[in-house]
Amino acid sequence: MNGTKSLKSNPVAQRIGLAAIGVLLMAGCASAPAPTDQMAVSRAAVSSAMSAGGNQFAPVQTRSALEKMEAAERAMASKDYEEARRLAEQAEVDAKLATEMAHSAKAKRAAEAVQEDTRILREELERRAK
Amino acid sequence: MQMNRYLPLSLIAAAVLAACSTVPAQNPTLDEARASYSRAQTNPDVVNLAPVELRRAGDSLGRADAALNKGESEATVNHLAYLAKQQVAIAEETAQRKTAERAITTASAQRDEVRLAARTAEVEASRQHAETTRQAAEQQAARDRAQIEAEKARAEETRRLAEEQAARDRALLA
Repeated sequence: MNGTKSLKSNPVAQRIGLAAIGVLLMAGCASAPAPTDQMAVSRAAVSSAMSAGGNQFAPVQTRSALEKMEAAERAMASKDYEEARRLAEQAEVDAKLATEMAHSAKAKRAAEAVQEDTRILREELERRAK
Repeated sequence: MQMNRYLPLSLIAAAVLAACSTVPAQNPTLDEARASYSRAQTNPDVVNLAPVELRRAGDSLGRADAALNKGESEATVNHLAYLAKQQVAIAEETAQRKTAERAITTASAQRDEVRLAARTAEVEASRQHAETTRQAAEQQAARDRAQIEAEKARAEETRRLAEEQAARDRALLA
């Protein structure tokens, strides 16, 4: 009883209490820190998708990645870090999918080109053999 | 009386809780992710050519399932399920890219083989042409030699006849 009374009247103890509350609040904020690393990773993934030809070979996925990245930047600006992380993570997978689609489309084209070359060469040979 | 008033309410609450515990939690995005993951798992190309990507998708799917079972927010479950679904698509694309790259290797080797065959055929053709030319030249030379021999023989015959004639003339004069 005496202790609580002295705590209420003691300004030092009050300050300590306020400081403790402040620390707790900061700890609360720390549970959703700014996803700075994820943002960087996602930006890099989106630019890879663009340079791989995502616009041409995977327009839907590339557009989705770009839009989510922009939304993530907006969420970062308004300090909505949980939303920013989610959007950035989705932008990253969308961008990676776009990149992989562009690569596989190019590889398919190259394979078809070589197969066509071989076919023409064979025909030419057969014609000469006759 | 007071207890009786609360009894139906608690029964309803109990029923709601029971419903929650027996009916498995549902999430359409997660169902979709599960379906595409099992489709990828039965595709030998994906299993063999994109094992790392497929495992990553499986991990995300596991996290989404765990979030659903822990009763986390729908947004969280949707988010994790979306990641899983896109990672399955990445694994499938990776498998397709690797299949195409293998096709390029195979087709390049075939093209080189055909090119080599073409060159070999060309070399053989020019060798045969040279051989034909050589044979023709030899035949011509043989014909030329025979002609020369024949002419020589004719000249010899003429000379012999002339000598015989001369001998006969000398005999007549003698």
